[in-house]
Amino acid sequence: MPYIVRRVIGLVIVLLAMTFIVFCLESLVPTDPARAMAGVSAPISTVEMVRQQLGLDQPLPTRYGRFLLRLIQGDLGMSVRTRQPVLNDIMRYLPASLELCAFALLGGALLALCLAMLQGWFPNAASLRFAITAAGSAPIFLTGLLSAYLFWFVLGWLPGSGRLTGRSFAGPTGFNVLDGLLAGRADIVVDAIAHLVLPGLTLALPIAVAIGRSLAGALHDVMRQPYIRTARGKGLAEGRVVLCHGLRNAASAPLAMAGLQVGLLFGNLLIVEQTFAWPGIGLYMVQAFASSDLPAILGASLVLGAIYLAIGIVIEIAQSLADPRITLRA
Amino acid sequence: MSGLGLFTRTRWADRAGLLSVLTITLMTLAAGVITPFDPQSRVAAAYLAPSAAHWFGTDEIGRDLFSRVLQGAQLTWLPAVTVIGLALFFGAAVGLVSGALGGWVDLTLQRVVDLFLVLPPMLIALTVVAVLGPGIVNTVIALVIFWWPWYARITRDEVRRLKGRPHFEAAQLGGIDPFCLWFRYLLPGAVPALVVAATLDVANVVLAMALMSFLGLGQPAPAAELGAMTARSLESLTVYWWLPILPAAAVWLMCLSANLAGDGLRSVLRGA
Repeated sequence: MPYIVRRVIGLVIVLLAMTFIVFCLESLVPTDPARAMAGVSAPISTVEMVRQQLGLDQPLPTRYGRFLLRLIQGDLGMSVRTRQPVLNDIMRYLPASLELCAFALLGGALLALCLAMLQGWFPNAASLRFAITAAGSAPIFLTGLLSAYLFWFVLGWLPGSGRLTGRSFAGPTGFNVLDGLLAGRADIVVDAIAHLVLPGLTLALPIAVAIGRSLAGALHDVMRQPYIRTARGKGLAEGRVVLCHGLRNAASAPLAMAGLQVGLLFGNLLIVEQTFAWPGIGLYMVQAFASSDLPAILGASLVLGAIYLAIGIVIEIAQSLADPRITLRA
Repeated sequence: MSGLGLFTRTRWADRAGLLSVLTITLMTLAAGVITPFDPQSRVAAAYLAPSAAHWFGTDEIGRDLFSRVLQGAQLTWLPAVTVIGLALFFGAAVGLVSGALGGWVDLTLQRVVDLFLVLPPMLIALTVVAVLGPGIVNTVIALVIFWWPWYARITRDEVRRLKGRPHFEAAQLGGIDPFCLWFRYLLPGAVPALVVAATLDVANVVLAMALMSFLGLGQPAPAAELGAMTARSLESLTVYWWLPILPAAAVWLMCLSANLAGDGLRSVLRGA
């Protein structure tokens, strides 16, 4: 079977498993949804009627089937807090989060490259290794807090709250940087990027450390191979040897690490969006936690989970592009 | 390898990490005895800066912050170690069965492991805790569910590798009881890789628990939870810096120690 077909089948199975987890969580909740809907003082008969209307008296497999059917139609239920369909809420907040994540991943990858180069130049510097480990160990709320305090509150170099200062701007894509470019508004683009820097770099730090360490290890092995000696021997500049010859061969493990980091990024996203008042899906989830907004929590994690799976596939394809010896197998 | 060799062959950072992990474990185990003040009651004026009497100062209602941070470290470190212990137990058991039996058992178990490995761990753990309600038991369960597959994969790969070795074949031909074969000839081979992964993972679990606590998914209010202590005192950063910073720094220290210790163990075990 061709790679893509197998991969899609695998993806469908994992998605089903994920919806099943979500469904189980929904039915495991200690409160009775029929009772909640009918009201605390409603008589038993009313509660039973509501239960029938909601289909909660049906056996579990039937309920799971209905749940899937609704899901396919894009119905994630109504948010208890905003009283809007959860899907609409998510679509409104998702672009802001994706913009932030993309910025964080890009920044993380570039920082990782710098860290790996540093480690390559000073392979035996224990203090460098210690500093890198220390940077990677800091809880995200501490780095977020300190960077906001220093660069926003004390120095005033960068904004530390929201996506844009004091103006409302909405474009077709929801990505402010992209929309600013499309509308030809340089001021919007600059402002949007300035707002991205602090939350983006806070998110990027742990990613950079994890990828950087993995990249340093891989580069260390690759740079001792004969073909690198050949490249040097024929007189290529060292930068070109490392970036074009070494890096491509060493990319596989760090790419896998990048995939893992996206999973952790989605956890950290909640903290960073809360710290920097970033109106994204992470903040939406934090507010949903606070108000026990079950449909919103489950819907948002389902959507983020699906995005994570999609990123996993992209990473696999990138690995095979970097290293043709890796064949794509499901 | 002797215990001494472990120390002389490592770098200073690795030694500091191992020592620090030991110290933290001892301090959190003895936290009930060594806290200088009762972490839950008012012992001095509110908002005292760090001093000789109150090392970390006092909080908004005059509780001793050092005692509270120590108790918070206990509430983070011991569950984190428990999570890793349970995940190791289940993961190693599944991995051993999967690798040793092979065939369709291996195939089935590995598909289940795959399923867990491709789900975003932190996100689902957060969701599980948010839905089931915060509490130490729910947190531990949610984290264990998403941590064991890693150890299952490590154990299985090591066991499969060892099964091809001559020493295993010799033991098999020698007619050793299969149960003994598994535990004496296969499982020990996976221990070094597991120990390194588990030590590094203590850091990850500490971070995950602090993150949950920061988001209000830790234990309820009177408990001294490190993440929640920082979250509650965010606005006082500019005036009473010790309130948000020191609990977060404690999380940092625990995580850094576990990371350094894991790196140290890795370099020692790889060199051995």
